[in-house]
Formats: sequence, structure tokens, C-alpha cells
Amino acid sequence: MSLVSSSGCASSRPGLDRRTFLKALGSLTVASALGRIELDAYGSSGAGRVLASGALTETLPLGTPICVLLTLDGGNDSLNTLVPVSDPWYYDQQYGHGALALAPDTTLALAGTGYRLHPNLGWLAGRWNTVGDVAFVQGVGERDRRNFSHFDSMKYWQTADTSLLEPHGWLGRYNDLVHPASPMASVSLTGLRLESMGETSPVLVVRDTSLFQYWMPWYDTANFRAALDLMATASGGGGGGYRPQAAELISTTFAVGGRVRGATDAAITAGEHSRIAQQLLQAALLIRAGIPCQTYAAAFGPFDSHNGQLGMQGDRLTELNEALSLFFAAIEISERRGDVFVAIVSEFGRKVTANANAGTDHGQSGLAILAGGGVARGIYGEAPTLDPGGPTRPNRVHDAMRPIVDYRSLHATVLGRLARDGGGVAQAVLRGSFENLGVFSPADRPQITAPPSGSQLQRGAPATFAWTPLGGAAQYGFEFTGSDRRFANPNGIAPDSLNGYGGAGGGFLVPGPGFTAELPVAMTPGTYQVRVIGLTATGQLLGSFSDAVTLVVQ
Amino acid sequence: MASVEAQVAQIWRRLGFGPSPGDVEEGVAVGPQALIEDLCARPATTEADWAWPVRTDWTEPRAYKSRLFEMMAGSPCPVQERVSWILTGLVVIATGDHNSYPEMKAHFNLLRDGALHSYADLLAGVIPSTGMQWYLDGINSSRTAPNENLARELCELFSLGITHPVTGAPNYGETDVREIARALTGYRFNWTTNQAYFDQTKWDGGSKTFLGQDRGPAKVDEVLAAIAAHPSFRYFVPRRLYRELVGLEPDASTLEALAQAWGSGGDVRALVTAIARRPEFLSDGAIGARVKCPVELVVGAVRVLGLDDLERFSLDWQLSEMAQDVFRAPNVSGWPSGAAWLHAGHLIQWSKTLNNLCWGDNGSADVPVARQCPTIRELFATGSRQTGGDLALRLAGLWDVSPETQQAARDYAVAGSWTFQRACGLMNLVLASPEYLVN
Repeated sequence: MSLVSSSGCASSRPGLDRRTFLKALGSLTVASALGRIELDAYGSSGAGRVLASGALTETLPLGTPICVLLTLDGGNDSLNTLVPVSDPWYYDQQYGHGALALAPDTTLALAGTGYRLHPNLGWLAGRWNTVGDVAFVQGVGERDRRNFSHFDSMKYWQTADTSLLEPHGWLGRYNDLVHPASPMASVSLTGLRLESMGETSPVLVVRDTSLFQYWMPWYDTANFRAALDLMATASGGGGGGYRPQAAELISTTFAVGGRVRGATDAAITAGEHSRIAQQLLQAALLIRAGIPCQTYAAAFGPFDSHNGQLGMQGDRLTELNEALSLFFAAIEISERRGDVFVAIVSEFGRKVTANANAGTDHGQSGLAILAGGGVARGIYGEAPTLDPGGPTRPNRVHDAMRPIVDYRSLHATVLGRLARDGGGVAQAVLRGSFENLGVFSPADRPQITAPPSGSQLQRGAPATFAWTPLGGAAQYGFEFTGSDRRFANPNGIAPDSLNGYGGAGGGFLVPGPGFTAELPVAMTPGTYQVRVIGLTATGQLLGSFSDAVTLVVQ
Repeated sequence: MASVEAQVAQIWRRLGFGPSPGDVEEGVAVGPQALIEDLCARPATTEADWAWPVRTDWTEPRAYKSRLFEMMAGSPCPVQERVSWILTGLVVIATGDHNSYPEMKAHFNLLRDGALHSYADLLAGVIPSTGMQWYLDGINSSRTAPNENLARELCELFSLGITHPVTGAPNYGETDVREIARALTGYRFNWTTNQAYFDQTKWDGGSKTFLGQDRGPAKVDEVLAAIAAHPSFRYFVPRRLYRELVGLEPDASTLEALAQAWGSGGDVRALVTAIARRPEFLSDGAIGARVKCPVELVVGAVRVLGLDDLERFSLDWQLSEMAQDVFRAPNVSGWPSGAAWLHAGHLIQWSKTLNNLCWGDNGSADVPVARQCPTIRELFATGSRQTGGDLALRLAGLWDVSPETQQAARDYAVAGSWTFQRACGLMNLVLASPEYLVN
């Protein structure tokens, strides 16, 4: 898209042209390579609630990363998913997968690797071998607690916390931070999932967009609705507990109903599908409709293959494969195809040796799979050894493979992609620093080298901004948020019309990779984000915006 | 401070599935404490009272569930119904590859029979049962490679929990799970009788050590005895039932008092009585501290509306649409609770079910008595535009409602002429209120 019209001056969005920018500006005076320009510094209202009220009509900006988290409930056997066919221990009758092991010729090739894929994952193997945006992360799990309980392990994954007391999920906490109180920011396709629950972000559970309508009685509908609306404002009266939440739910249901129903497209959902395919197709509808949501939660099972594992896991993986193929087919024909990725996780893997029921009991180390926009093909993490280390199996925990990669690295990697901020959001959500596994390929974009994120700037003092040049860029678009706001579309491919240019913040064109500006004294103190994007001489945007830098203006 | 009416309604919601019209007025007359004593002392019903339908075709499971909901709504022993329902989410099995209607019915019968007796005896009945053996992979678990599923969930979810509620110490370790799994081996399935049975030759007869002691050649009985003697056994179910019935978390001294009532064998009726007698049971903090799950919404509405002959409503299908098919708990940890049920999709499904329940009777004299909705008829006959709003709330057992909810009911009552349809709409409205959604 172009930010500058054919006249080279005005633009349609309106563009990042200097004049519009100056007009909108208060008094921020900038000494730059362009001479003296003035920077806008309006938009001092708090970030969260403003975003929330706008969120009912907001469309998620194109270029905003979207994650569909898909949980394989019950503990998927990682060894028979990404199959280590070249490891003799895998086939060992006493210490390996024995009769459950999959013969190499029944599995599917993954070009360039020594691994093969479960025979029922044909779509995924094809995606690896052609498009290539598939990553496997081996050896993930909770490393310290040796907990074999489904429910504790699920809580570890869902909360990214090992205390078992954390009431909010990691996606919910992300939305609390980035899309606070937004009624559509946290969508679940399968009941209320803990991973989606935030403190201010309600979970929107959508099973079928077309049926997402409160049923009103046929008789005197208007007065019934008016009465319901009044009940929804209830605050007083006796008792407390959940009642205020229940009252609020009534208004939320009406507010989002039209938006969700509007996403319906029978051409996408036609036909009989498995439960997980239905969930992913509903997600595809909402994504295509631009629902302001970066985080979708889907889940299915059971993968708890204590009994008859080959058949059970085979059936589940067939369903998974079909669901992925339908989902990506629906996304491929959407303009958001580069934005969407699926992250597939499970609470743990399974034990290495089989039990008497041709199944496997709960394990520890597991496998995560990522596929879709931005994913760089590869096998990440580290596979735990299958060598038991001797008859007492010292290399294992009660016959389960030891996790090598902290499971929260998976969270940090996904959050890094969603926030595209260099790791600050992930650290805040996870309350700690966990490795970004580097699964997502950096897009073509500049990197801001100065000032560093977190810098404190003084009003009335000059500040120097600099970034790495981008090949093919004749100029750069510099965008900033209103005070105490964050970009809603980190690393987007378009300005943020809500918090940045065209919204509470502003922006302007700069001919080279940097400028020095004097921050106006009248500017509102607070936290701002800034970022840049490369443009051609005619105003065509190149790649995506840089990681945002967060600055504190005092 | 909640009114006496609100307290009585709370007793009915927590010890049963909510008040029927008139229950609150009667409860106020005798007083809350006398009502608690009455409900907790009522004799349990038996299978003869349940009168499960017998049919020769595929409609029997549906008829069974309808009858189950009729019992939940209309049993003379509401506490038994409430506790049985809690137990279906505590000692869980579900339909799946092997379990279907016969196993579920047998399992529910065990829970209903044992609901107000010894919990240790209940476990002794459930663990070897066909439904549980299939559900948690006990069948064919052998000495060469024992299956840990049943052993683990028996400890974690049915009896002890992972850690001691006071000290936080682990209740058992992985070695205990393995050893208990060995003790639980030997179960097989007879494909002629469709029953699980114990086969001594498949059982691991070796000596086992678990929960701190050498247990010798232990079997299921020794496992259950060791569990009942474990220091956490006296706290685990009492805490769970307290959360279910009060909606709050018990403090340490409360938990100790509950453990006393529970005793060594797990006396469920004594426990429920002790919980209901505690002051916090009727405290303001407890009122509204739980969210109605779909079964509670539906059975509560059946009581409010006075509906009978439930099979015509296909409630099993409606509950399945609301994500609570009673035969299909999502996993062995049972049903979601609390805010998990407060989401827009849930509310939408409830609006559809309400439409079904509140608009089935057109008020005409031609409607057979069994298909009439007595509560809406009473509202229409005794109410008016001026009194209908308050009367509808009272019939629904909703007391101390917010001024907004009260005004909304009154507004709708006076919005047009007083017709039978308006009475239907009014009951529909109060059952859609925030006050009804919580428990």
C-alpha cells in the first residue's frame, strides 16, 4: 500500500506527510534533517479503556500477528509425532517404544532432517517440504517439579507459572497488558480456557458464529430487551460474588453478538468436520473478519493414550491434520495470511516404554509445533536422549524423558512474535526472562539503534533517533503513539490508526536513517512508543515497522 | 445483611437445586436453621423411588436422563440429589470408547445410593466397577506393565489431592503411584456379560510398598484402606464439599471441624450437615459466590416453573448444547466451575433453553395438565401489570435483587396489557437476570 498519494504530498489514510502532521501538531519542535518540524503530542488519555471502548468496532490492523493456540489435551506422545527413526533406542524392545514404535517406511519424510512425521500428518509434512513455515520444538516441559498430573501440568502451561495458584492465563495476561478490557481480545473456540482468562480481558467463547445471537422472546421483544439492558447495569442490592460479572456479561453478549455473527461465511465452514476442524474454521472466520483479537485458543483430545495408543493417537492426528489443512486453506485466501500462525502444545509427552494396554502413561518432555506466518522452518530445542543410561534408567524421570527446554520459552517465543517488541512484553507477562527460541524469522524492517528502549527523555531537550538502514528504502516513516499507549499492531505493515498515526499519536517522513529533535516543553509527560518503517521514493511501504522502542518523557 | 427470605432461598440453592414457588415462604415460617435440619435429616430415596424408565429401543437413555432431571427437581430428599450431582464431578467417569449408557447408569446409581453414606464404601463400590475400570484403563492392566492411570487419579482426584491442605507436604510420590497401580492390576472384561471381573492370575501378587508402609500382596481393598488412613483423606473431600456448598475456601480451623464430622470412614451426611450448620453457610459472602452451571440453571428453572413430563423438552440435548451433557464430563477432574460459565456463548445457549422452557404452555384450558406451566399460570392469574414484576421475582425465588433488576421486572410487567404471553415473558426475563445466573 502507499502512504503518499500521487501528488506526493497528501495521502489517503491520511498519509505520513509532513503537512498533515504539522497541522495536527501542538508545539513539539524537532530539529531534523528535514529542517524544523513540529511533532504532535496530543492524546494524553490512558491507553487501556480508550482502546476498550473503540474495540467493539475496531478492525485488527493488517500486519498484526495472530496466534491460534491449539492444545492437545491429555498429553500427546511426542515420539510418535516427530519420529526419531534414526535412533536405535526408539526401537528398543525393552527400553524404547517397542511395539508402539513406527517403522520408518510407514512415516512421512521431512526434507533435510533425520526425523520423519506420523503417517497421518500429511498436510503438515507437505507444508514443511514446500512452503516451509513449520517449526518443531523438542524437549519442552516443566523441568523441575517432575509432576505427572494432567491438571497440574495443564495449569503450568496455561498460566506459564508453576505455583498452581495463578488465576490468569498467559494469553489473558498478554491481553491485559496490550488490549486491556477489550471484549474481543481473547477468543476461545472451546469453552472457557484458563490460558485465555485475563484480569480485565473477558474470554469470548465462540462455538459457531452464525448462532451467536441472544434469543429474544417473540412477544414484546422491544420491552424485553429494554428490561434486560436495565438488569445489565445492576450494581446494588444484596449479595455480591459473581453477580456484577453476570450483569456485565449480559451487555457484553449483546455488544459483540453482531460483530461475531457478521463473520459468518458458509463457504468456509461447509461440510462435516471434526471438532477441532470446526474450532479452527470458526477462528478463520473471525480472523478474516478482522475481529480485534490476537489470541485464539482451541483444544481437543483425548490424547491420553494409556490404552491402545496407536489407534487413538492416529485418529487424533488425522483430525489435527485435516483441521490444519482446512484452516490454512481459509487463511491463504485472506489478506492476513502472513499474520497468522498456529502454536500446538500439549501438557506433557508420554513415557518411553509401553504399559500392558498397548499404551503409554504420563510423561514429561514433550513437543511443540508452530506453523504459519513468520515461522522459519527448523527443528528447535533439544531432543532428550532416548538412551536410558543403564538398566535403572538414570537418564529418565520414572521412565519419562527429561525436559531440556523450559516450557515458558515457548510462551516467550509466541509473545515475542505477538508483541514484536524485543522481549519486554514477554518478560512482563511471564514475570521473568525466558529464551526466545528464534522460531520466527525477522521481517524486512529497520532496527532502531538509539535511543534504547526504556530511555528517559526530558522535555525541552534534544533527542537523537537512529536506525539501521533498510535496503531499497529512499525514506522512512517515523511513527509515535499518544502518551501512555502502545502500538496495537506491533511490527505491523500499516500505521496504527488507533494509538499512533491517524489516532492518538502521529508520524512524519524522514529522508535518512535518523534525526535529532527537541522535545517540546508542552508535551504530556508519560510513556510513548516510537517506530520506523522504510518507504520507496514514491511512498510505497517496505516490509514492516521496526520493533517499537518505549520511551519515558519526563 | 441478607434478608431471611434470601437466606432461605440460599439454603434451597445450595442443599438442593433452588426453591420452588412457596418454598421460601414456608422456610421463613419455620426459620432457616429448622429448614437446614429438616433437609439434612430427610431419608435418602432408593432405586425403587427413582423408577428409571425401561424401554426396548434407543430412546431409553434420553428417557433416563429426563427422569434423572425429574428426580433432581422433585425428589423428597434434595440433599441427596445435590450431593449425587457433586459426586458426578468428583468421582468421574464418562462415555467414550467403552462406556456408554449402561455403565453410566450403573455409575450414577452407585453415586446416588452412596451419596449420604460412607465415602470409603462408595469408593470401594466404584473403583472395581466396569465403568471406572474402563474409564481409567484398569482393564487389562497387568503385572508386567501396570497402567498408572487409575492409581494416579484415585489418589489425586478422588481421595487425597496432591498435597496436604495444611502442611503442603506431598501426599504421595511417583513410586506410590506405581506400587498402587501394581495392586490394582488383575481386572479383565467379560465380553459376554459386559462386566469387569477380577482375575487372580493376571494380578500382581508380589509385595508392594506404598503410602509409607509395606502392604504385602495388596489388592484394591488394601489400597483403599491405606488411602482412608492417610492424613489427607480427612480433609480432601470435606474441603471440596465445603467449596461446593458454601462457595468459599474453609480456613484451617473450619477444615479441622469438618474433618471431625467426616470421621474415619467419610460420613457424607454428617459432613453436609456440619457444613450447612456453619454461620458462613448463610453469610453475605456466600450468597452469589458460585455460578450456576447448566444443570443447575435447567433443574432450577424446572423447579421454579413447576414443569413435569420433562422428556418433551429434550433437556439432554439442550444441556449438551450448553456444554454439559451429564454423561460426558470433559475429563476426569469433572466440570468447570465459577467464572468458567460466565461467557457470552453460555448466555446465548441459556437464552435458547429459556425460550424452550417458558413458552411451551399457551395458557389455554385445552393444554393437558402434565404439559401446563403451573407457575406461569399462577403468575397470570394472581398477578397484574402493577404486581406482576415483584411476583415473578418471588416465584423464581429471587430475593434482595438489585434495584435495576426489580425495576426491569416491573417495567416489563407494565409495558403492555396483562396477557398470558406477558406472564411467560416475565418469567423468562427473571430467569435471564444476573441474580438467577449466580448461585
